[in-house]
Amino acid sequence: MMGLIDVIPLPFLATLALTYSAWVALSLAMDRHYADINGRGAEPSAVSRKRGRWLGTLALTAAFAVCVRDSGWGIGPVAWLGTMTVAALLLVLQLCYAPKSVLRTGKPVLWLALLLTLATGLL
Amino acid sequence: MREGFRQSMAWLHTWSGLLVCWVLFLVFCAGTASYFREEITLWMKPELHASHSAPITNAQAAQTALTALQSKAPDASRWFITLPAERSTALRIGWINPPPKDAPPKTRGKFTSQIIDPLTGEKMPDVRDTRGGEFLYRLHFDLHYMPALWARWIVGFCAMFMLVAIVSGVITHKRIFKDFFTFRPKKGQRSWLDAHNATAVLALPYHLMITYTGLVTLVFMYMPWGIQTAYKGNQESFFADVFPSAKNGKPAGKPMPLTPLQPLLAQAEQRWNGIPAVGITINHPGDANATIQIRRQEEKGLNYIQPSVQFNGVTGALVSADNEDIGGANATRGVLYGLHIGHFANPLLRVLFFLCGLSGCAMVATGALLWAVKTRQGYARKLAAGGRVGFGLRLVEALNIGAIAGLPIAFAAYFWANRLLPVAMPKRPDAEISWFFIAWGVAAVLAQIRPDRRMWQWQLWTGALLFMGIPLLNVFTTSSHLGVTLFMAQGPWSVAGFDLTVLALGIGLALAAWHLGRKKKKAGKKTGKQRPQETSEATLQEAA
Repeated sequence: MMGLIDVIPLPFLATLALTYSAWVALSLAMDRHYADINGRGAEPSAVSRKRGRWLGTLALTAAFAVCVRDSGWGIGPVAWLGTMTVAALLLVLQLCYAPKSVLRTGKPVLWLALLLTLATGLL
Repeated sequence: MREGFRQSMAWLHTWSGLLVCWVLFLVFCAGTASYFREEITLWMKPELHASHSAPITNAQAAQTALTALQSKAPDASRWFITLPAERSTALRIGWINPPPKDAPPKTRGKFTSQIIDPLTGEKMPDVRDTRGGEFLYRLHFDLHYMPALWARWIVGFCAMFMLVAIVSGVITHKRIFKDFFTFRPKKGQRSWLDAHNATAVLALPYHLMITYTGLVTLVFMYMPWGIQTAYKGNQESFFADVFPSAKNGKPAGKPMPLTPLQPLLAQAEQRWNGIPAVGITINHPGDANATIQIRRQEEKGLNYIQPSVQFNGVTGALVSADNEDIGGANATRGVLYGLHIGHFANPLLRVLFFLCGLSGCAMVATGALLWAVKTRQGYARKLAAGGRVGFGLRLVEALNIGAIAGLPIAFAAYFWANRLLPVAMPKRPDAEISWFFIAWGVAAVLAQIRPDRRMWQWQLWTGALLFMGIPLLNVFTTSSHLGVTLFMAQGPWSVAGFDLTVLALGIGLALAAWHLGRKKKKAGKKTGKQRPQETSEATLQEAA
């Protein structure tokens, strides 16, 4: 009988957390979603916009690295793309139905992502 | 000029999409289900749930299968053995009996297959006969009730249109990055467009991949010209080059005993560094020209083409080792094909593929609905003056109901039939499939008779209740329901996963139906009468 750890391996969770926080960072760099999350009329500053974009790009790259390291150059990118899709769909639903909660989940998930990435032994 | 180009692409996107969307919806739904083909088949054979984990070595299983074949089908022209593997733990044998002597030339022999007990070789007692997930898999490119060749041309035609729709859709979508995360519910046409965009863009790599690779799987049929030129019209020698299993000589007509199987199996597995075999094919068993082909289990890689070895069936000498070092073109095809069928995926990646597939279903469904919503708005003034909608819109709306709300009913009916029909019924697989098409046919006809909001609600509720009822039905008809598989943690996990998935799909359909009803009440209160049908419910996308 397969244990739970075989069914939901660490690298997948790390990738999911990384891609989710990447999308959160990228969406916070966009006017519409920044306003959705922080209240009407709020606009991201130039610095935080830049930071969001960098963070997002970095996290997506890190997710790619985790995938390739875990499942190689063939299956890794496939897993990466699939996880990105699922994470983005999750965020779209969250931004739509509970936009304020993104502030509460964004940071913890980013920390979790770092932790999980460390745990997979990449960094 | 740029605006003009975009507009022409928008036109192309609209019509290439609309023309084929109902077939595509079927292909997407059945194809998505096919990721769990083995699991669905297992679920549909509850008699096998208990014997799920009987450990047995490949050599033992092969010997049992061979003995069974020798007694059950001594005159067959081919024997097939499918050894137990990770996802499909049953031992399966199959054989082709030669066509009767008086049959017209080119008649193909009849294929029979059985699941047997790996210890005794007897047919598993009382395992219900069903095509299981295989039916859904075949449905997604062979359709049904028509020659497979026609069906493949139809599906290929639709897939080609899909590819056109994807590319033109990306060009049409001006705000692909700005609207990346955007979904605005309860805004009518806007919401449908958002839902269509989100399900399309966020899973775009998947949609492109699955459509393109889908065409590649049947490329030899759609584009035979390269082969005809290179092989000077000799298709058979091409197929013998590409598919080693097609190397199948004529029988000598001289009886000779078959060489023992076990040493060959050991030799093959040793050659593959211990990776086990998954299948054995024996051509012309008992004849002097017998050959034995052994295929390797898939190793975790994108390429679906796996090595195999051919042995002389009488002497046991190695004839050839195939697919060990395949050429670039064939490897490319193997990888594209492999990506489409996703056999390399572990359970988790398989779930990701499944979710992306659902997203594809939602994309097709929302696209079809979007056309209807948009076109209906063009009729707003006419409708207000008491006029009626045009034939085209009525047809599309009815087809939408029949496909999007009706197809889930058909799927559910198939699973219900599997549990309710008598286990020993003759022609049971056909009966199950009939249930699928009868349910779908009724839904589609009713939709044509009355394509309105109430019909959406009825059909969505029917689908929802049928899907949500499946786990409950299991409690009464099997001993491997969720109470056993999940709460008592006895497994098999794939059976529990099936029940949970249909439950979730049922809840999604129920949400869509409930949302539709709520919206109608509100609209009724506001205006005092029913407003024109406005299928703008966001949750409908989950219905897909």
